[in-house]
Amino acid sequence: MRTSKKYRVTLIGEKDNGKSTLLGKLLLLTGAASKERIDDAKGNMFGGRFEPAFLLDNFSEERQNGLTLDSTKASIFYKDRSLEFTDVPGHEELIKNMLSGASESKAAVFVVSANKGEGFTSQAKRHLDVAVLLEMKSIVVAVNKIDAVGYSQDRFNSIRKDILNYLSRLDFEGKVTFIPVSAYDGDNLVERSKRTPWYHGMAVLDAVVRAAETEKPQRRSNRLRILVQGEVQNEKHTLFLGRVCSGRASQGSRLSVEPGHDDTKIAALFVDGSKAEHANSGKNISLSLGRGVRPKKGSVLYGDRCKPHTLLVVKAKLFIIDNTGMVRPDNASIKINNTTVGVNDISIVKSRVDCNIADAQLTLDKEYPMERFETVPELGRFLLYSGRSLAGIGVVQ
Amino acid sequence: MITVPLQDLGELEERSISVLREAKMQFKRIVALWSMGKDSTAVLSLARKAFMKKVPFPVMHIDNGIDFPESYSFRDSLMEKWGLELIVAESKIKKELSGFSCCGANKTDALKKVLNEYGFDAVIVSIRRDEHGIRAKERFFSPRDKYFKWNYKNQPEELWGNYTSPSEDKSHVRVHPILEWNEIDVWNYTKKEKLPINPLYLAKDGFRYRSLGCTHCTVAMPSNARTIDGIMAELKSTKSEERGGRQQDKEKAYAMEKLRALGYM
Repeated sequence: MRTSKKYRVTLIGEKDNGKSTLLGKLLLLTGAASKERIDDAKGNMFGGRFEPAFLLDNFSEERQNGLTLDSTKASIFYKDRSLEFTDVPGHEELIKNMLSGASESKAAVFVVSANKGEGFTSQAKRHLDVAVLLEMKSIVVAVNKIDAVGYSQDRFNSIRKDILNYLSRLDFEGKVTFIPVSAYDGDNLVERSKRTPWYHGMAVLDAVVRAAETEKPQRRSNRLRILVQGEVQNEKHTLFLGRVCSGRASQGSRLSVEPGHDDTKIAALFVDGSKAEHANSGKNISLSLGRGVRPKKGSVLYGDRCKPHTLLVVKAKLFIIDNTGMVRPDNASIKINNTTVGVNDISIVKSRVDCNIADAQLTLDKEYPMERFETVPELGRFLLYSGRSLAGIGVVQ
Repeated sequence: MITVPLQDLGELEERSISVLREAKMQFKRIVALWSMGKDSTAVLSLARKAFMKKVPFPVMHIDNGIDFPESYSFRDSLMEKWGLELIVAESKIKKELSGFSCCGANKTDALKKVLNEYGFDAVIVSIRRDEHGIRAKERFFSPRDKYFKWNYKNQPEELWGNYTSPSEDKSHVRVHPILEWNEIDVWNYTKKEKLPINPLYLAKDGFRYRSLGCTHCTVAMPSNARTIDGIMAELKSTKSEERGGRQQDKEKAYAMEKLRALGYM
């Protein structure tokens, strides 16, 4: 039986622009929705018409009010590709749910309404900010409700121009594809529609498949780094639980514990609870270490005399949820791999007009090892808090 | 036909192990719900991988006395084999209740009672996103208030394996290690690890159980799948959903949403 690597795609865009409708319709057109889901959506319509969005919006409140409260995932298997779509809420106040849903995607389908005043709003821009911050390489722009503007090519072109302008301001270097669609009717979602004869490009699903096909492997580091998750007592020994973030761990590997620069080596290595010689990147492991060295939860073990990219001063690109107040450093902290580290200072190196993305320099209140997002993603992305509430996210540059 | 591709098992396993380990580090008293079904048994096997082949927390069977006899004997044999610490939470079946009211009143109440009695601050539950549209909206770490209410309108953020911290109001957190798995992935894992399974999942006289609840509300489906391979082949071409044989999901509109609001799994 076939195993397929998942390609994660998030639907982004302002509320009521048709994200859930577009995904629901894709599920219907590709036959990926089960009979029960369809029957359930049909049986609970609150007297209205059948909405493809109900295949995703399962809460009664979501259906009654026609809004998405929280992220949902749905998979479509198409042209030998396993595509996992995440539908996220578009409402401004639900941005943390949007971030939770989008955080692991490689590409976005940006749904933007062709109706005047509805489309490229400031909230839609926030979603694009997030896509760019997460270093997504492809954005498929579905210019939706094209039927409502008489399938107008002029309207399509004018939206296209606005979005391209905005993306260049964000220094977006990936691929962007524009497609006129009517999500409710299914135009240009899976097959090209006759109602937009002026459009000669791909349908949405093909554009997503192409994004998956052209995805280049990340330039990941192959030097050994192990993130420590905690410790357990096993018979008389202390075992450290960790995950190999990059490189390969081996019995006998020499390590340096960061923060602290303590030298040690792997005395015994266990994978899935059994003794092992090696463990590759991505594996959870258990370790016993040499004399007296005791890494904490959140410590990182470095091999090959390799040193952390940053320890105290971090250059990062930030997405700030509410740009008006910025984040006051006296109340700020970051959370990375379930470890909270205080922030002493945030200085903005470069901000962009009308965008919530900024290049910044953070000074931490204690050393914490981090890597560039591009080379070791697990050690290069963090949540930014103001007090107890989420203020933004960041990736290390 | 709905094509369900297998997900990469290695990737799924590592994520689940990492969730289980994080739970163990963050919480003081954890319990795992064990229905003796394929999902919660797979989670116990993952916990064995995470913690040097020993499940480091007790497992709880919410027993209403009307589970299948096969389930009880399966429970006792695996308990012995894996050295599990078992807690049986007895829930009394009231004759007048069935389906929705029964799950809401019995299972959920029994769970509440035991959590309070033992002071558990985290409960490992083997639900999956593909089981139900409502469960699709869950987080890996999902806090519950003292009334067991799930505040689905305001769930905590959950990015990049950073999970919500233990809550301060003395309630508990539901931990969902296999949230991202699909039904077919669980069978793929069960097969790969040669895990023992409840015999009710395999076809006998042309019928098998696809999802196991208690005897009152679970219905068998026509099937000739006598092996895991047979089950997987069947799942590849099915048009109906796994919980199709569960009565409690269907009685009322939004039954699952309402049940979960009461604290149901």
